[in-house]
Amino acid sequence: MILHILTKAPDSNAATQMQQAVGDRDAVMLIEAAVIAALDPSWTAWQQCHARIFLLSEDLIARGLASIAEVNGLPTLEMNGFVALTEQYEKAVTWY
Amino acid sequence: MMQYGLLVMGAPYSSPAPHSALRFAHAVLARGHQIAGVFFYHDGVHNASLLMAPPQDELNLREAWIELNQQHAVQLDVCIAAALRRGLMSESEAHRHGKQAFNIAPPFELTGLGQLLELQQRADRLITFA
Repeated sequence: MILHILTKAPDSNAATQMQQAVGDRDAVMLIEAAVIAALDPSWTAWQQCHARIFLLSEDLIARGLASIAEVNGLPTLEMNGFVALTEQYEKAVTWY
Repeated sequence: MMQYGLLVMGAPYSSPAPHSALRFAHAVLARGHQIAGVFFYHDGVHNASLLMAPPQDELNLREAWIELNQQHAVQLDVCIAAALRRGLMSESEAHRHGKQAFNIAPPFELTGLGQLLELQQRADRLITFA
């Protein structure tokens, strides 16, 4: 069980490599530039990691994407929730 | 309660990584955990520059790290190999290399990669910000 932290946009190499590496029991935290995934509800990772993938709300707000994430019904976590995820998953890998 | 180690590899003001790491660190502490240490590597070494002088109405990242050190006794280690080749050095290293200025001072400490391995072993979680 690994927590994957993606810091780059969904169309980046980092995102593609992460999607290849994510296992069935892994979770994904989208931070920094990765939160522009909020604009694309058809991104394959949303289905691939259903219920185990989250956008960092602070970074959504910083980019003016909080309302679009809500409209698209995408799951968000605050920094506190991000830390909680790292408590649950023993290993964390950052893709950048 | 868990021990967290943070690896910071992004430069201040060009990468969002240091700011993310800092906010994460405060959230870790707010949840009752401890930060075993922060290791600055690659471009992350620029976080330690004594000569950093951002506008006064902006966050001074170096001072924010120092505050974390002073209030929560968080160790701040800087990779010496990454620092020297980017022109960051302590007073003693500046003397050794015949330089007229230095820009690394306590609480930041120049250390080797061994310190990162040690942090990894000491911490329950190691989170990378890059």
